[in-house]
Amino acid sequence: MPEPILNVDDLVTGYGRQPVLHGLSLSVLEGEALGLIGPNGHGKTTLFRTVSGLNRAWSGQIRFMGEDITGLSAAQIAERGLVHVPQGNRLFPQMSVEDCLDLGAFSPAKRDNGAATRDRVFAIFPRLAERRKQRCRTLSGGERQMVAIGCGLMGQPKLLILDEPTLGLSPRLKGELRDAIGAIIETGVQVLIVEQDPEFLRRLTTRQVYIEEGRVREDFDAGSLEHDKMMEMYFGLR
Amino acid sequence: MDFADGALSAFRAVFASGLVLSSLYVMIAAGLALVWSTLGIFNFAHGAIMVIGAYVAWTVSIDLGLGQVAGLVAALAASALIGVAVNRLLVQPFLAQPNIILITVMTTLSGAFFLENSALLIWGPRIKQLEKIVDGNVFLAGTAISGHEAVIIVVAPLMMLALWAFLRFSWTGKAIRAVAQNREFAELSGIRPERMYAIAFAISAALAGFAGVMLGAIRFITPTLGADPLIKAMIVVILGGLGSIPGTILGAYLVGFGEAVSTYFLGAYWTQAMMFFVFILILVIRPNGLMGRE
Amino acid sequence: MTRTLVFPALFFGALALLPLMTDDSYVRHIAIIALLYAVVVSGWNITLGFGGVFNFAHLALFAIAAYATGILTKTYDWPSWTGIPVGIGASVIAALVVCLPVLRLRGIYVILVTFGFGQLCFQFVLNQRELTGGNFGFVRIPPLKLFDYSFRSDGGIGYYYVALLLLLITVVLIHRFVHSPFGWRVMALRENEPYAVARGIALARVRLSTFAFSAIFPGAAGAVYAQYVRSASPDMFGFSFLTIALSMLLLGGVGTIWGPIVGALVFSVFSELMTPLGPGRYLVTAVVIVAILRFFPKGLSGIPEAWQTWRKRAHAGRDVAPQP
Repeated sequence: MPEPILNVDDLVTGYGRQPVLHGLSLSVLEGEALGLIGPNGHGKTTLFRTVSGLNRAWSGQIRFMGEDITGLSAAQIAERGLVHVPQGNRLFPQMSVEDCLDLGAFSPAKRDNGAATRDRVFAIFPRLAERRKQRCRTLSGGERQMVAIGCGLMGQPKLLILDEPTLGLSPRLKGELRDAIGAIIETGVQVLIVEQDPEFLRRLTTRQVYIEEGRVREDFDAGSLEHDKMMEMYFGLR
Repeated sequence: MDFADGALSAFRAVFASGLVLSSLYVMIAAGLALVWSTLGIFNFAHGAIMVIGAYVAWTVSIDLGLGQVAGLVAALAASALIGVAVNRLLVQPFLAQPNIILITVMTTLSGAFFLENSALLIWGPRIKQLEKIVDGNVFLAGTAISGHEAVIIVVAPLMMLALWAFLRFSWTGKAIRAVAQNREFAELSGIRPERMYAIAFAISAALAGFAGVMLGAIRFITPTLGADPLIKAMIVVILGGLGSIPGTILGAYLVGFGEAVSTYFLGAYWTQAMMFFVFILILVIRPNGLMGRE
Repeated sequence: MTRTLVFPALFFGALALLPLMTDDSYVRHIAIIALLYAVVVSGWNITLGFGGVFNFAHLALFAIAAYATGILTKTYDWPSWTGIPVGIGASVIAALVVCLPVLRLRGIYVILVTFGFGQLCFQFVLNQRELTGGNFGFVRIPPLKLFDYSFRSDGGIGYYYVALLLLLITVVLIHRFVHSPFGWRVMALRENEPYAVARGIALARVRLSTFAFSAIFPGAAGAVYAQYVRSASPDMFGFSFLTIALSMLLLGGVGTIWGPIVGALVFSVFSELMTPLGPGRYLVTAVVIVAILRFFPKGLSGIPEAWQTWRKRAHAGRDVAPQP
């Protein structure tokens, strides 16, 4: 069995004194695209925030590419190539799209490739090239999401973690974004995605995990996440 | 002297002194605005840092006799260092608290109290003065001002230009703005916020130290020299709409010229009262400052 | 006598007996000043602690009261017993004036405007030299006299009891305030202003009343102070005085009845013990304020609670989740 690129082991964390994750374990294997699904408020976003260093782990361990990254700062983790694209982001509202993207490659090691990566981002999201001088706060929700993902790519990730990239978007935009993420996966970037839409996940990811009450409840093999099963788990129709 | 002559000489006097005051206020207020826009806090120790800058310059350039350049460099280094310490000790530990603005008013006020009394302990109550950077006088719009004041008038806008360019074009400057606009997203982009806060504070404090060195040659240096300019700078920053560099510059020139005009016509005592009155009035009419947005 | 009255009774009883234990004039002077501080800081606690409004003009109210008392009783020959009413009146009027702009403002702007008001008064005092004595302060204020008894006699013991009486009245009034519908409205506005307003609390009226109520205390204390030390100085508008009062409030604990009082008394004693340090004591003061904010955000009044949670935690072992 190959060494997982990301390995979360028995992770406990929460807010204040209230735990949200109760010993969650999860791995992303080399070469796979993993999807997370589950009801709101059950710890998916908290998991991402802890993995990327925004929240602190109370106990447990997070390893990325063989290195223990538990307790590192968000900036240090981003530098190592684990890049988190947060949910519903307002970006840097007063900055131009271009500046915002450039800052995605802030760490000195990544600045040199910045221009080349930016061209790749513009190739994936041509609309951003048109709006490169526009301030982020004037963008639409879909465009903002593109910039957020673009910023993530600027960080030259080995693993890109996307938190509900299609939240609040129209079905048409959603399709567009799905294709873009598909194209990103094809370039060899591994992804870990949270989504509410099983169909979306099934098209993009090779494996899905169902998270409930701060634990991994169910692990599905490639493409087997079925609608009925989903309904059953969401609504308790047994 | 007929009316036209009178008006002309009034204009000349007001223009020159207004320009000097504005330039000083711009330097002090810009630092205050930089910290406000980056961290969302008001540094009440800013004036005290300025005083320490002036004292350090005095010690190095006059007491030790190492010359003005060494004095200026030492003042900038010392004030930047104190700025970093203020950030580290009085601001960062409280950053996670919800009422951060109010808490840091208290902590930085204590910091100012600490620095002022340290200055009193170290340098004593006797007044001191720095040497002017250049000797001689310069004629500006028909009024003689000292060469030193001319330097202040010229350097202040250049410094603002440099600050603006730094924030706009350099990686560090952009990162400072990024942290101010969205701290978490900046962290996820690989920016270390603590470092940016420290840099912003260091620049802000160095600006204060520079202003202190400039001011220390035209006024007497006392431990409380910073109080009055700090209050003026606060008025400037508020009028400028809290934090934007262009707004701060405009605010500084408004306050500086306003003070000069009022001093000429109403006298120094009434001017001070007048300024606070106008300041309060403006905030009542426009609660977010003259140039402020919601 | 109920249990809740035991502590206040002991506290005031002990203070009332203090002059019997020592008639050292230095100790008495410190005690009078400390009691007046306790009254002023308790008043500040009404706006800042219970109301959540940062009125940085509070110490200016104290100064205004001192000047008003001095000017009216000396320059205009008002009888000295009018000092306290005059001080309260001047302070309340000034508080209402400063509250008007505050009604429209939030956060940092409140601090800046109230601070600006203090500076405005300061400049006015410097300006009106004939009226206020300008830079040198207003001196030779007539002492308090009642029925031919001058409070200066008997080593100022009269002032001591006046100050103690003021403090007693302060405690009673604030206690009633905290348990009155008015007090609840004030605290509701602090906790959640939009919700409180939505539930029908008249923001402007409550805030104006809060300011007026809190101004009574610096008003009375300012008057007594002026008649006791027989002068009023422009320094009373300065940063240092503000910082000292603020540290008393923080030391004792914001938003509690006894916190500011204990804070003022403890700080005064502490400050006297540090006199040999000279200006160095201000350095210690500054460090103490920051340390309190950092490690004891609730001040001395938070210590019993902190002790209890610590003990609870020690008992419960290590199964309590750590704070992130």
